[in-house]
Amino acid sequence: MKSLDESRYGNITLSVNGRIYNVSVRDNETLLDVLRDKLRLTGTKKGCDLGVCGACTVLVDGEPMNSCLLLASMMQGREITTIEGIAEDGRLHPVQRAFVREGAIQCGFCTPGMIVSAKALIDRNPDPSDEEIKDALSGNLCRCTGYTGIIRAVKNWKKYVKAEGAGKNTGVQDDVKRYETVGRSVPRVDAVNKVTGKAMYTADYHFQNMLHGRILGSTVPHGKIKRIDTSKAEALPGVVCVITGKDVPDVKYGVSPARYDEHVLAKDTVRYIGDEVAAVAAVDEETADRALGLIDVAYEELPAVFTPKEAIKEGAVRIHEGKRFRNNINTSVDHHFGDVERGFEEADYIREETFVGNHTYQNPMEPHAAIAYWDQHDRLNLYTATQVPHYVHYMLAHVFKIPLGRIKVIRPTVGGGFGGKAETTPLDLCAAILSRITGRPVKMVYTRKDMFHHGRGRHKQHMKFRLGVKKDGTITAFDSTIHLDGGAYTSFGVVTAYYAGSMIPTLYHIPNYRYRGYRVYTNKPACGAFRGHGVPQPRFAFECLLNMVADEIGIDPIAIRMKNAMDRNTRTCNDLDIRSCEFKATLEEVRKKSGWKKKYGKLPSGKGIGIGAGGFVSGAGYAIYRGEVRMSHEKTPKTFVKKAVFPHGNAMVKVLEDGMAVVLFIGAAEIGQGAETVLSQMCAEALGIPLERVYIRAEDTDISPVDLGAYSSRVTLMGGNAVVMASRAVVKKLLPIAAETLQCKPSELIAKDGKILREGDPGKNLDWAEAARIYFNEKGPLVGTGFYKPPAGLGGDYKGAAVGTSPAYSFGSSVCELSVDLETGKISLERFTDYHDCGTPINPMAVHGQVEGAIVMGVGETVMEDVVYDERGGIVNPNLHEYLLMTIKDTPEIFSGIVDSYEPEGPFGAKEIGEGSTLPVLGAVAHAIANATGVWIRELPITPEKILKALKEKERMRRGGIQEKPRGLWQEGKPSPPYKRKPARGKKAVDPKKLFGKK
Amino acid sequence: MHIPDIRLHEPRTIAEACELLNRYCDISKVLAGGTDLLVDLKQGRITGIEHLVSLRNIDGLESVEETGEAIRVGALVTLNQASGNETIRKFFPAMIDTIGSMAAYTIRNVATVVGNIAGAVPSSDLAPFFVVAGGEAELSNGESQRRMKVEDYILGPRETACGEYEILTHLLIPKPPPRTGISYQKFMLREANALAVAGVAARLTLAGSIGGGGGAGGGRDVGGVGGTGGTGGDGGTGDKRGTGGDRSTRGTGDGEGGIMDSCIAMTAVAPRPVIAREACAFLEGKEPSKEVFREAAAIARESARPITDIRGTKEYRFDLIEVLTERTLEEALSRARGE
Repeated sequence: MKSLDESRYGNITLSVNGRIYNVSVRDNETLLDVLRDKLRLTGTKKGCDLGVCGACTVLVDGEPMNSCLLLASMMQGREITTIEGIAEDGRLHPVQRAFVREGAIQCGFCTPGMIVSAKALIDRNPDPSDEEIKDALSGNLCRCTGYTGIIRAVKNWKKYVKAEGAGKNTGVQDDVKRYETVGRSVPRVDAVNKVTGKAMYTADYHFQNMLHGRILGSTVPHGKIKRIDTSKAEALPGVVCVITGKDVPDVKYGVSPARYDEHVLAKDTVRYIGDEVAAVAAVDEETADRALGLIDVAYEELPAVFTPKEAIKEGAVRIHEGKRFRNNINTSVDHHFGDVERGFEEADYIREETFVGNHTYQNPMEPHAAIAYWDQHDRLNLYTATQVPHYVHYMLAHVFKIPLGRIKVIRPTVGGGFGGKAETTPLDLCAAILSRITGRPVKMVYTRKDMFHHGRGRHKQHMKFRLGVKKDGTITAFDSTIHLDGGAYTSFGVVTAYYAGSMIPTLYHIPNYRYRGYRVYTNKPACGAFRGHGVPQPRFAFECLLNMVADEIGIDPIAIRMKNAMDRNTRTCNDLDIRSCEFKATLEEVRKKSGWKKKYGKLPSGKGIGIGAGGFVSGAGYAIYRGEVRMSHEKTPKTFVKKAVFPHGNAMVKVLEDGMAVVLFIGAAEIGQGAETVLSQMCAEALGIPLERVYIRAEDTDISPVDLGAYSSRVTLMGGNAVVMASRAVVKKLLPIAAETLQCKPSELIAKDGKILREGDPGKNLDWAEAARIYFNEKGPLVGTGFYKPPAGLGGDYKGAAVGTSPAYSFGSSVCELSVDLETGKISLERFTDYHDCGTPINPMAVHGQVEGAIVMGVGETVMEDVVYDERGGIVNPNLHEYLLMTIKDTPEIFSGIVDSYEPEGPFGAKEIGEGSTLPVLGAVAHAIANATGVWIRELPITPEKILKALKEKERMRRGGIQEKPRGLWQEGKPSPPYKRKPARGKKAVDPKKLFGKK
Repeated sequence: MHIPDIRLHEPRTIAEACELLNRYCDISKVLAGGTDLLVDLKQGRITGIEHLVSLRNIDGLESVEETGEAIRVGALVTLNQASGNETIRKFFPAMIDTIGSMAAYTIRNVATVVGNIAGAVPSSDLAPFFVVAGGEAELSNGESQRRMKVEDYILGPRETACGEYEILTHLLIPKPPPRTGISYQKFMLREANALAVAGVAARLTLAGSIGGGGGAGGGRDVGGVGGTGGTGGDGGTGDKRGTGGDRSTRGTGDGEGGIMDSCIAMTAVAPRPVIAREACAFLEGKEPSKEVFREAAAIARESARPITDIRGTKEYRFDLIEVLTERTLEEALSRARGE
């Protein structure tokens, strides 16, 4: 390995966006790196660096190309256009305006590449067909939008040729008329920054004197570190610092306080291929990368286990020490509500099935990144791509044993998370340590491969389900046993194991319910929380089983759901309180809209239609750690009380002195889902002013009050409630001022349309800004604060009762239509019809965007996504070439609808959509495939190969005259007693031990 | 992830390029589009490379030319340029289909047609097309050129007959004889940016061509380009034509004839493109029909030598080959009939 040869630099002239740059490059530098690192044109993104994701697309002489696969030194004499050069004279290009208005943007990380590709398309073909749009954008992956809004934007670009503001968004419906700003499909507040490349993601920041860090991962799946020799790496010119396990605090960290089991860098044991062993800081990333190759690690390999089945065997190697982890079981759950044995006795038909899920990985388009430096006050400043700034903040304080007040976390624009950025990463911790040692800012960015090795994707679940029903389809009992493949560390796993069981009874009345869950350690990257946290696979399996049962007992699959569907104001068997619930309405709507009656059971072979349902929490009822917001080691253990100790959402509204602008401070994390937009809308609504006057600041823990983050679909409801409270506090201060001027009682006044007016007498009013100015002149700063604590007493009194609790639950139903090539097993998706109960949609366009994205992601999880491991636990496909994400060409036609619903606990009646929208999808696809082919595939992903194999097996049996064994059991002969549903109640406190408590 | 420290050379002539390859031997690589090479270098799949010899400043490699008997594609012609080329569109709709199934639009703006052959990856989409179309590789060492059939050029995974100091400068495709149809069917796991799990190309030339009888077909050198000849290994071509022509006379009176000549080639099911010779022999002289194609497909299946990998098992690939062969023959037939 050679050091960088200075003589290999040469000067080249690049013409970018019409400007000439003279830049010194080496021959191996890509155009992407030169644009980003040397010209600081960071609108062009690095998502995979291997030419698959398309986030780096630029125009070269007008043609879109992947700048990560172009050598910069070959670009002399060619005209390069980046996203920064698409707008002309400060005016957005019509395509950019179309993206803004048509809901084509979420996290925004793919947006520059998409727009560049789209612009090139319309330059050569101003009237592209859907097919031409899909082909032109086939090299641009998007993980958020499901491509639906993007196709719409490109198709309708001409509507936006005229001046700003012209053109109506198309294809967006469901606007709610009850409010002024809430319920409207307004464009995202960050849209313009995202279409122009100005939005700054963590890796786009640059600081003076900054170093670049990389982390070395283990090459063995399980072993003891015998020796690490870093001398060669340290000797490499440009390397500034190398750290190993001995240089990091002897403090374990993680997510669930009861299971902190990770070290920043391995102290002595490595537990999977990729487990962090050492880290390097160097003058540039390339040098840091080379240094990793010079670190010599000697391992003493230990036996390794890769499946739960191997891991729980007696005598299997132990991945973690400690009595509690006997048989490598990281978490075990045994929940029994009602009496399943009696429930099965009461059943007329019982069916048992086994299902297996897949290891899927979130793959947000933006790779994780962190930049750390310690400022003049010796405070740690951390820029990080995260969904949970507060938990990162908390964990840094925990690991470094410093108060939260000595740390400032900044969350720049985040390019998607889906649960993959819901915890503190080794990047955050290593960057802080390397910066501490070197005294310089340190930037660390994961490669796509690193992301896969960091893991935290979906747990692969092995599920054995048993369902009992009456002849009329009424569910009498459900029994499930699930083994979750957890990987080498806990991450969110304790919660995942509980979620896998707790959410099943929220959708249907299940009087007798048992769930046994075992999360098992294996020598693979840790699994964590992925959109729908623990629930999508059991939900897929349950929905499949319900459909099998419906077909067997001769009831329509939608009818059996209607029969058992959850009702509002119900306490489920596991003590979850359902308030608003329009599940039945969603079923009814998808039935009508999809033409279900005409299609189900009546389609030709090879064509299929299927249904799935699902729902999720609107924010977890309890925080991940309990007690107070302070250093964990300073806290004394307290017994669990069934209420939030501190508020989960907090907001502050400050009115500018001229009354013309309002700044909303809230720590809620915008990760692409639209948090900043819906929170701003709610702020404007509650204040009674136009949205244009609200500016949100949510990126900095120093300036915004704490919010627990974007996980468990909590922001709209919890953050929203805090915003509404803070905004109303401001209005409450303004009304007396206005009342004085208008000579009436404050109670007669409301704030609306930028005015303070008397209800029923709008002529009598005072300008809102004027009232604010008067307030400032008389009383000083006009500020309101608000907070939200989930209701006290949520959940039952059994162990693990906290998981699954929420102030509100969403519900949804999806119908999938597809065709299957019976000779190859290939699936062609045709149409999705989806209706959701998300309460009041704060921004219907954003709701549809979540649904469209969830459908495409959910289909991908059902039919193609899978992290594949070799026999040593190494990932075979840690890249976007072989880990298959749906492309724009795979996208079905999607109809997303919203049913009328109002959640009393939510702001303006709102609840969640982000995660619940994923849940119906997997089951609907699996059902449609079974409906098209006559074979059920019980193992995800449902690949063409598995379908063909099952079809051939079926044909072989038919030819051999072999009858398929009946899979269900009819309990004939017994008198079927008239079935009366008893009020579903959870079993009483058997064990009051708390989920997150220390004993 | 970075490209190793390399030095880029941009010679102006083939001779200079070959001289550089000569000088740097096995620490150098030829660079055209680079969409495979740079990915391989970044991922460390290829190591020890210190010099890249770019072809982009060499004249005469950037065009698609129509010579009398053939289409000649230069090493710098990108996939999108090829698929937008009128001559190619006119003669080879199958090549347009093939290109449309490859990678994604942005990659096709950079990746070259020649690169897909020169790279010799086992899942090359264009290789089976070139094989069935009778394509030839034109190699140059800076002083002289030589030509060989594409099927002889690709020796194995990333291994070709290209000499150490030679460059694959052009690909040639003979214009198809009348009543000839070519088709490519690919099976992939998503609709864009996906490698073939299996792919089959087929060419059918029907007897009873417009000129009357098999003679016109026989007069054309289907297997070679403008008489340059291959490097051998396909001595049967002439015979096939002859027998095809003979049998065509037994065809139906209205000009619809049996299969005079055919070629079936598969990709992603062996280390290199495989010609299903037995299936082709079976088809010779047969009246095309669903049954005949089904039988041919079953025979073709036996020529595949697939392995199990992340995209599919060996068994599945065998099944795919059979289905794809049947479909590609059907499409080739309808193209041969001008439908």
